[in-house]
Amino acid sequence: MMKQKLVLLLALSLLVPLHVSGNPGGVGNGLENMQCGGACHGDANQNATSNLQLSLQQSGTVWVGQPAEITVQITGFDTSHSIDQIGIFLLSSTNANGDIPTTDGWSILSDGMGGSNNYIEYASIDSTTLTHAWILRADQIGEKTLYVSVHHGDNSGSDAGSPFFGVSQAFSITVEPIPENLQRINPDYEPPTSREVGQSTNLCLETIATSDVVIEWREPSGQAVQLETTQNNGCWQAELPSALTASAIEWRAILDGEGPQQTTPWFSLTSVEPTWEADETALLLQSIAHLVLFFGLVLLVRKPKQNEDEFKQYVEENI
Amino acid sequence: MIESATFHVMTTELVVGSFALAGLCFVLHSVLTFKNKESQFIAMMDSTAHIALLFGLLALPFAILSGLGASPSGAHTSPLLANKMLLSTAGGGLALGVLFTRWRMDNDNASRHLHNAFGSISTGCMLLTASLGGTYTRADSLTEFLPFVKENTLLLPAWMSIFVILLILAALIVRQTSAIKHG
Repeated sequence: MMKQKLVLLLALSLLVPLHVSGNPGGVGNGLENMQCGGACHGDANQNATSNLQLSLQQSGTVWVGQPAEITVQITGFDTSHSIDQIGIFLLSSTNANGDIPTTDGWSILSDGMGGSNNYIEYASIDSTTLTHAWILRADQIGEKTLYVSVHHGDNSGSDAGSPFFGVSQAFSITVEPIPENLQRINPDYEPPTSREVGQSTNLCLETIATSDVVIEWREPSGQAVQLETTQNNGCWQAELPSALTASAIEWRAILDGEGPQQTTPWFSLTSVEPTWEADETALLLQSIAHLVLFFGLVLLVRKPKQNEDEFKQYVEENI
Repeated sequence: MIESATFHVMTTELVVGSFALAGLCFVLHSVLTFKNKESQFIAMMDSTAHIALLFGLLALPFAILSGLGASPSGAHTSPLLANKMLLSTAGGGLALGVLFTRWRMDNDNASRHLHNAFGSISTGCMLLTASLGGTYTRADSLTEFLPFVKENTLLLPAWMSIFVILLILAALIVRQTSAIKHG
């Protein structure tokens, strides 16, 4: 009877549907295709459609080879939704595969969070509108398309607890050829995106057709402060102050030359706590030591097989 | 070409499934031995546990190597990854020892229970390793109540690891020679 009850309990436990909670801790910033928005949650069939409104806009003219600010705006975080974490994708198509902007002639110079990713996560949402900017650089002239996509949880409404997914309409971006004598940043320049707390940053900005450069920095949305900028070895140098805690600052350059004054987007520079790192060889040796130690432990504590029975049998047979 | 991360998921599932089955059978073997020594399930549990353990152990090197390949910066850059590596090799060592001693140990009750305990601890190590993998990729797992495993690692200097390896090898050699002399 007890056995039957146990089997019944096990069978019933297999029938109970598991609670679907996707990745409640997020998957971390990274280079992700749209497919992740459907399948990072485990099963795309479990997704509900997000009601958030998604829009995207460029800041000024997008010149080829020059940094361009692409701002994403997400609205609809009202009291009827209980969203505590959201993942945002910047995509070049909705094929679900191969749709990271870097596959369509873009370079991601900054994701605004200390990296160069097309997918970023916000751990909490404080207002009804979320605005986030990426700094991209187009490597080809012509028409390009970008999309915004989101995935998140929602603890309210009829689909509460389900993973939600949404993708925007296509936003067209025109990449224009840059006038020959327009002052500009060297197309190969890669701005720093992160550093350790307590480290100052020496900028070395290479430019073309530029007679003067002013570099400014600010705390996000704070007052801009000008830095002393000097030209040395073909680049404009300035030192960004160190951060005392994990935080982000923004900096930009104002370029003068023959053409109209050019201002770069605000580049985000994140300061993070020093990363943990162990001696790789020591870790490898310790792993081998663990293997040997625990293998040896089992062997050393075992009681060897007794041959008493065989001995007794032998004695009995010969008496 | 299959990516390391995908291959790691496949091999990890093989390891976790096999070790979980082995662990369950080791525990049931001990429970059944306590309850009824004549039970026909005892031999079945014993065989299943060891075959599942062997299968998991065969998949383990692939899981460890693909895991190292899937990590962009290496296991030495995160305490969580370092713990994963140390736990998996500890579990692997235990499993290897359990398989090696299965037909070389005494068959009394105490030895059998100790043997089953080692097998179960080996399973525990593997399940904890897999759970840490969940924490690393999804920031969520069943072992969220063990924060120290994610943030701290007990690291030995290289010389101490070498010393431990030599000490154990020496102990095994002494034990083996002693067994031959007295055998």
